[in-house]
Amino acid sequence: MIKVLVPVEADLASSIALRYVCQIAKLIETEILTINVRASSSEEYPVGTGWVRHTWEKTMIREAEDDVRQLIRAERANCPTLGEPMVVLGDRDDEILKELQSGSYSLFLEGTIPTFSSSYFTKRLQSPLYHSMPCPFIMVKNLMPLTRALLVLSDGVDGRRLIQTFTDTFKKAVLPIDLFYLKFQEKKDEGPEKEKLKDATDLLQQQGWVAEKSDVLYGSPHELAERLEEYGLLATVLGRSLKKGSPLQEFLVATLSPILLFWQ
Amino acid sequence: MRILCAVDENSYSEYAIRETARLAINTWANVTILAVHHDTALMTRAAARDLDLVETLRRYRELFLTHFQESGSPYDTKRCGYELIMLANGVWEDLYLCRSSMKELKVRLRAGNMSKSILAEAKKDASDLIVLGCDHDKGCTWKHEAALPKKVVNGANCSALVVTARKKIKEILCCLDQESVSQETLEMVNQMVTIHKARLKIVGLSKGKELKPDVDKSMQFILDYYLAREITPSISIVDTSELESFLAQESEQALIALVMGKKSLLSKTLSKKKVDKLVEASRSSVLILR
Repeated sequence: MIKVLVPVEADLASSIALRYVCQIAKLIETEILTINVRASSSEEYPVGTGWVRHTWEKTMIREAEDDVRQLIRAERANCPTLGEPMVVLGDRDDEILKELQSGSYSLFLEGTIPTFSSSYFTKRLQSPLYHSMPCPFIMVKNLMPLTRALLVLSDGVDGRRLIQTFTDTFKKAVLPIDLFYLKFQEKKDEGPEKEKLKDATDLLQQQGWVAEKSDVLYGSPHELAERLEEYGLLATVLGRSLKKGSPLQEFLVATLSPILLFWQ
Repeated sequence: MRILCAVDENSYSEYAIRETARLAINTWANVTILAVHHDTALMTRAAARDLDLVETLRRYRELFLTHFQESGSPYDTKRCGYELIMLANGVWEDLYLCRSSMKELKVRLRAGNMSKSILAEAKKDASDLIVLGCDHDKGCTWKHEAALPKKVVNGANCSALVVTARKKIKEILCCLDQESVSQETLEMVNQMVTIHKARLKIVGLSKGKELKPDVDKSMQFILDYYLAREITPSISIVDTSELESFLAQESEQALIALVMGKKSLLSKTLSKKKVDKLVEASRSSVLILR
């Protein structure tokens, strides 16, 4: 069983995230925990101490619970395993990180609606929460049917770590997968990519998985993102020191599919 | 639904006819094909009969009807045959009856100012949608009245679709008036997605960093609406300050559908001039929904 943490608020991004995690739960045994962190807004509303503060906090938590419960109740029709949310007061990312660090989670999953400018996605990846992420994470940009996943190799991607983490996360799920080596350039003479691809394919087989398609694909990040848009999940490995404007990062910004990432 | 397809004798109008037929197959709309002759002096009854434009209109009617050969035409006027009709209790007669078509297909010719005549016909006919093509090589113009497409798009009280023949439409990009989206609007976009077998991208407009809560809620409703129809749209958020550049980039390959309700954020953001610019520069079709 995998244990997944999903932050929820009463909004579209959370609704998409919940529906997506429920698709995962249909593939593998999944314990879904939801967390709602409500900013205490203590600067805006000075509160007292003792029972005054305590009562105020309880009211805040009740309000948050009502909003989010309504969302979860709506999604529970298709996903009966969704439980009641944890409601916490505090800084959103800090509280989520605390929970991730103390709760032995296998996966973190968050709804991240794409924006025209790429800055939000990049900033989110560079945020302290993501930077200190103790487990793999999925950024759900859109609600895509999880019927096929793509493992993305590219220059600088540790294929061994990619396959190990993917197969650890999805264990024995019945999920067709493809494995592509993305070269963000015009097609040139073959380099070591074919060999790396073969090593990764062999490694997948050792783990009991078979890549139905595997190939080296050439093109710009945008071209490849458009070409590979039908996947319900893209998985790859990123270096913690994100290089601004690296082709792999540009590809991840441009793709509409949910992406499973782990740090190198 | 009533569709007005405005045509002239140029090849771009053929694409407008084809697009109208595709829409009509799915919606069984009442359709008017309208041509306007710019020379009013020619429009005596006898002269009208001899106009090349009349022949063109008749050709367009045939072209429109060819799209219904397989599916059975709701515009077929030749529904004649014997039907057993009850005359009185216990008395029937097998009568030869001719029934009129289920839906109207009118072919009309007007004379006068072209854009004004199209708008007048749309108003008189209570059209829901005006469809027209244009010459994209010359910045979306018409031969006898260059600015006609822009005048019609901006002057119409109903929705307007400017069709391009350039590329296959792979994506419908829909900037919706998220605070109040009508069922008809959602359905029209649904039809376009189905006709073109295209992907749907829904764009929510934000002012500043985040979506307003009511816009966010409305986007959830829209997402559910399409998911229930087995269309999985992708979603994107665009700040109003970036809208123009976003549309310019996307109009390279997507059909742009803009909901321009009177109170919509989109109407406030995109002035008539900006809509003109979009129609003029777009390399793909543009649908203005009202």
